[in-house]
Formats: sequence, structure tokens, C-alpha cells
Amino acid sequence: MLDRLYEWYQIAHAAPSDETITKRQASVTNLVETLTSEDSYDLLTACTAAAVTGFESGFAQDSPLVQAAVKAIREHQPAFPQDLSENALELRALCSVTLGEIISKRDDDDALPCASLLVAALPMQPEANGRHLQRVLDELYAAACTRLENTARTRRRRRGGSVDKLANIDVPADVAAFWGQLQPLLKSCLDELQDDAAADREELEILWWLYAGYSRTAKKPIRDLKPGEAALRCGTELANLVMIPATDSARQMVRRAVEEGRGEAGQSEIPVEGIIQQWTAKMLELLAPNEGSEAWLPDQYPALLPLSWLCRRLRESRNKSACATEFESRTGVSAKHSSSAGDWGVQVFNERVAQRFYKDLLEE
Amino acid sequence: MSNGKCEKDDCTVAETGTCLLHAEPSACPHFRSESDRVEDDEGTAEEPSEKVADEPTPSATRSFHSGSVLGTQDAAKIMRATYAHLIGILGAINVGKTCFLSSLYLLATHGDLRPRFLFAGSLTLRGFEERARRLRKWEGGVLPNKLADHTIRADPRSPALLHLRLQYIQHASRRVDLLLTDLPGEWTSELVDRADTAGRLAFLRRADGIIVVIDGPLLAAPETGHLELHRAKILLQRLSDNVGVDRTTPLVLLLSKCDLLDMQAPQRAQELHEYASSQGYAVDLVLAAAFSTKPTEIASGTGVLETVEIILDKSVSLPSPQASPTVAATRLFQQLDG
Repeated sequence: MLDRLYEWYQIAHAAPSDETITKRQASVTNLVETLTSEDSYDLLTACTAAAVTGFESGFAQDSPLVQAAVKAIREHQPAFPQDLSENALELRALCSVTLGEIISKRDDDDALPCASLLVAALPMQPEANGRHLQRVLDELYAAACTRLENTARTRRRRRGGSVDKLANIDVPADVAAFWGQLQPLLKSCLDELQDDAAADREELEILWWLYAGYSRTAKKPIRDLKPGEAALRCGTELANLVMIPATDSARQMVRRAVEEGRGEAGQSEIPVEGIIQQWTAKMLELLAPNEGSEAWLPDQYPALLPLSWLCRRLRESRNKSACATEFESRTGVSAKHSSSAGDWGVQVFNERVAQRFYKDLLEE
Repeated sequence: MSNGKCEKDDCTVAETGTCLLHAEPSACPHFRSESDRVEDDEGTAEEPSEKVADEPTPSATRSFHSGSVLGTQDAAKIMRATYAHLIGILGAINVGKTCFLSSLYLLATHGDLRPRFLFAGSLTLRGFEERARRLRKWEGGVLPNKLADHTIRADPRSPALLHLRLQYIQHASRRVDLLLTDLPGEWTSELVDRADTAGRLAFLRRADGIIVVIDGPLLAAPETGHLELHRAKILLQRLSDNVGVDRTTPLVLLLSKCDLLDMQAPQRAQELHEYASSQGYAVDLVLAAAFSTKPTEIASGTGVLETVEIILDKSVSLPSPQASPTVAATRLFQQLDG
């Protein structure tokens, strides 16, 4: 979001000069290159966490992201303080602009996992300590939603065209040459058909799931589940069915599935400490599955996937009250933060989709 | 100046040559001399050793604030570390802007911001003290006619900022940094008279709140009230149209010297409040008496804390942007709304 650099940078400087903005533009460009040229996703994930929660907690002075960000600034402004105690908010501004630039301007898929994390993390974060900082987060969130929705729609668009080309192919006398022409077209046709079929299959699966109103994991009608349980089961079940990135309509389906048949009771708000009372130990696996031994993203950055972190913690501890208290200190989200059951379902959905993005990355 | 630096954040040995813990810096385990940081090269005895010098790391200049006022560049050093709430205080000459600041400072340092806040420091203590000094020259309990010196800016182009840090009593780890402007009244008057002076107030686009101080008795008086109201309306227009302040910025119309009005808002104040609301401002009207002439009936500092709380608590945020996908939804499946 280099075009928003001046406005976003105002959180750290009331009246930044043209010279300062020019230097920061160059720093953002450098940092974008650094983050996207890395083989692993660690720096980009750390950048996402820093934008969401800031550098005040969870980042040490010598952490790779802090070093990369300070380096990016010092390349154009040597007299820049290194200590986090003196520059934390400015680094946050830099990371936010960098992330926004990657999400909104780069065509490659590097942006998608961190956009997914932003969509999962930001709605639950408490309002920022300052309206201008909140604006930055709101705009970043909107950019992430836009990017995910655009990609989702593009992936589900029926392409077509190859069948027409196949019909219009000139048939040469030479069989080998003919096959050389035909093969790529056939492949292209089949790929298109496969993609279209996958999109169709997704629609059918989801619509049948929604229509049936039946939880596959609970083996009960969804309306017979308690609201908190319905939120967890519907959010994860649908997130496991969709192609990623999911469309925004899928989120509305989660909400609809959770709220169906509950009337006004379905709209009443449930705090975190209340919703976990409706979750059994077995259900926690839905959002905190037994993954491999590699570091689990919510453990590294609890604020990015707060409910996922909470489910894993509950599985380890079973003491729900203590976990609720720890939840607040680790994620920055109050244990009294309340949402309707439908909104909780959407939050679970967003987090599970983000988990799937990262699982795919690790498998690649 | 010593030829090295200390790993401890608060040690000034690099600048002063004096170690906080030891007589000799070299005896301190935290001290790192310049030579310690140069890597030895493993060249042969015949060859001159090529010291692999570290890339010069220019240290950020450590500067100590004068303690008087901060300019925007000085304030940037605070703002880059933590979010600071910038509060613009505008008003004509002698309306009571500096008195408001002095009153806030005195309330803070006397613990009178309770039950919500405690004073947690200021980088401009000297600035506040200078402004408050006249208040300590009262004789016989009679207030002087002017409580504060006329504010003059040494640099007519840059604003002066005073810093106040408050700590929330209920959440001891939560603090808020306030940067309060103390601008000459001429800046406001000139903005009302000439839109082309708006440029020097551009920093107010970053404001977390704006206080427009209006002289209560002047607004109430028949001879002057109409003009005061008119100029206040122009000021509000200039703020949004020329300075570029977002109308969702919390705005407080602070009616000063209301002890002289027995804390009764004149009709024109209500009219101004309604005008500001109709212009789309997120506005509150506060009657204040920074230094009361009748302290037994109306406490000094009335309205001061309330004003700050309004700005800090106002949850009026900037309009939230919405996602705006540019790829058309080609399947009905993608068009389900909530």
C-alpha cells in the first residue's frame, strides 16, 4: 500500500516530510523483496503478526524481522534508532505498509496465506489504541478480504475456450505433427474441465451440507447442538469442504447454518469464557488437530489464530478458567470478548482456512 | 567521550565516558570498546593483517529534550516508539488555551485526575512549569487579570507540543501519551481570516482530538456574542475544508471562563454545537473553568478532565473501508449475502 504510505505513516509521525516518505518508500520496497525472496514463510508470518499486534510483545530485539526491518530503514536513513523501545511503532507502520503492498500489488500467491491470517486475526483484536492506528488495521483488513475474494472468484471462474480451439484445429497430414498440436490442447481442455468440475463439486458439497443441516462430526442435526458447539463444528466442517481461498459467501453459509432455527436466541452474544464451556475435549481436535511435530503457527503467534491457540491449550490443560485467563495475555483478546454464535462460527471458519493455507505451504 | 559503548540501555558512557557501575569503563563487564568489535583477520605473519572492520554502524543520535516544548520532529521521537494521542487546541487570543493546559498539568501533578488516571511523567515539565508560574504569584487569593503569558512561538512555522503521560489506575500497565498543542491565538485568528494560512496546521490531520476553546463570557455578551459565534463557525469550516481535518475526529467545543457564567451555557453555545453537528462533526460541548474566580462554588479545573476523557473515549473511528473485489462473481453461489 505504498499509495497509503503517508497516511499510514502518520501513526508514527504527525507531519512526515517528503524526504522521509521517499526514504520509507524505498525501505518498503527493500523489505518487500526481502520477505518474498525467502524460501520459508517465517519472516512474512512474523511481519503479519507484527502488523496485527505490534512489536511491543512477542518480538525480541534480535529477532529476524526486527533486524530485517531496521536494516531496510537504515539503508536509506542511517541515523535510525535500533532499539525497539525507541522505534516499535514506526517498525509496525513499515511492516503494515509492506504487508499491504504484498497483498494488494503482488500477483503471486505469497500474499494469500498472510491475507488469510489477517482475516482470521483482526476481527477479534480489541480496538487499537488510537483512531489512526485503527484505520491502518481496517484498511489492511479490507485489502486482505479483497485479495482473497478476487482470488477465490478467479479460481472458480469457468474458463472455456479450449474446446473451441479443439474444434477449429487444422488437421495436418503428418500424424506426429498433428499429435504435437493436439496434445497441449487436449491437456488444456482436460485441465479446464477438471477445474470446473472441482468448482462444481465444491458448490454441490457445500449446498448439500447447508441444505441437510446435519453435522457430520457430531452426527446430529446442527439445530440440536448448543450454539457454541454449532459454531465450532460448522466453522470447521465447512472450512474443510471449501477450496481455498474461500469466497465470502461461504462465511455467510457458516453463519446461516449456525443460526438456522434458533430465532433470537441465536443472536445473543456469548463471551469467550462462555463458549469454551460448550466445547468438549473431543471437539477441540476440530480446530487444534494433531498435526506433525513441526512448530504450530498458533503457538508461535497466538494473536493471529486465537481460537486455534485456545483449543490446543485446552487440550493440554483442561482447566478452562485458567486457559481463559491465559488467553487474554497471550492473544490480546479479552476473555469477555463476545460475539453471536454465527460470528463465532465465521471466526472458526477463518482460522481453519488459514490453517489449511499453512499446512499446504509446509507440504510444498 | 569514551571509545566504546555499553550494553545497558540507560548507561551514557558512550557520550560522557563515565560508567555507571565502575570507575573505569574498561572494568565493566557490559562495556564494549571499539577494538573489541573489530574482527581479527587470520592473515600470515608476513602479510599485513587485514582487519575486517565492521560496517560502520552509525549510532542513532541520542538527544535529550530541553524539557520546554517539543516540535513535530521532537514529537516524532516519541511517536515512533508508541502511539501518542495528538490533541490540537485552538482558539483566539486570551480565550484560555494555555490556562487549560496549565490546569490539566496541575490537576495531573496533584493527583486530581483520579479515579481514572495518575500522572506518569512528562517530557516537557519545564514547559508546563513555565506556563503555570504566574499562577503561583497570586496575592491575597485574588486572581490576576491574566493567568498566563501570551504564547509566542520562536519559530512561526512550527507548532509547539506539550507532552503528558497518564497511567490508567484500573489497568496499571496501560498508559497514554498525550501531545497537546499550545499555539498562539494568532494562528487560529489568522486561519479564520485567511484560508491560505491553513498549511501550518496540516499536522492536525493526525489529531486524535481537537479542542476549540471559546471565551464563554464573550460568547454570552450581546455586544460580542454574534461575532464570536460567526468566527467559530468559520473556524469549523476551515478545519475541514482547508486544513483537511476529518470530521469524524472527536471535537470538543470548550467554553472557557464559565465560572463567570455560573456554569450556564449561553444560547449561542447550543447554536454552535448544533451547527457543528450539522456539519458532520463528532462534537461535544463542555463548560469549563480552568481557574475559577469562585473556587468555593465552582472548583478550578472543572471541565478539564472531562474534555480529555471525551477525546480518549470517543470511539468514533475513521470510516471503515470495505472489501472491494474487482473480479466479478460469475456463479450465483458466490453472491450469497449475509
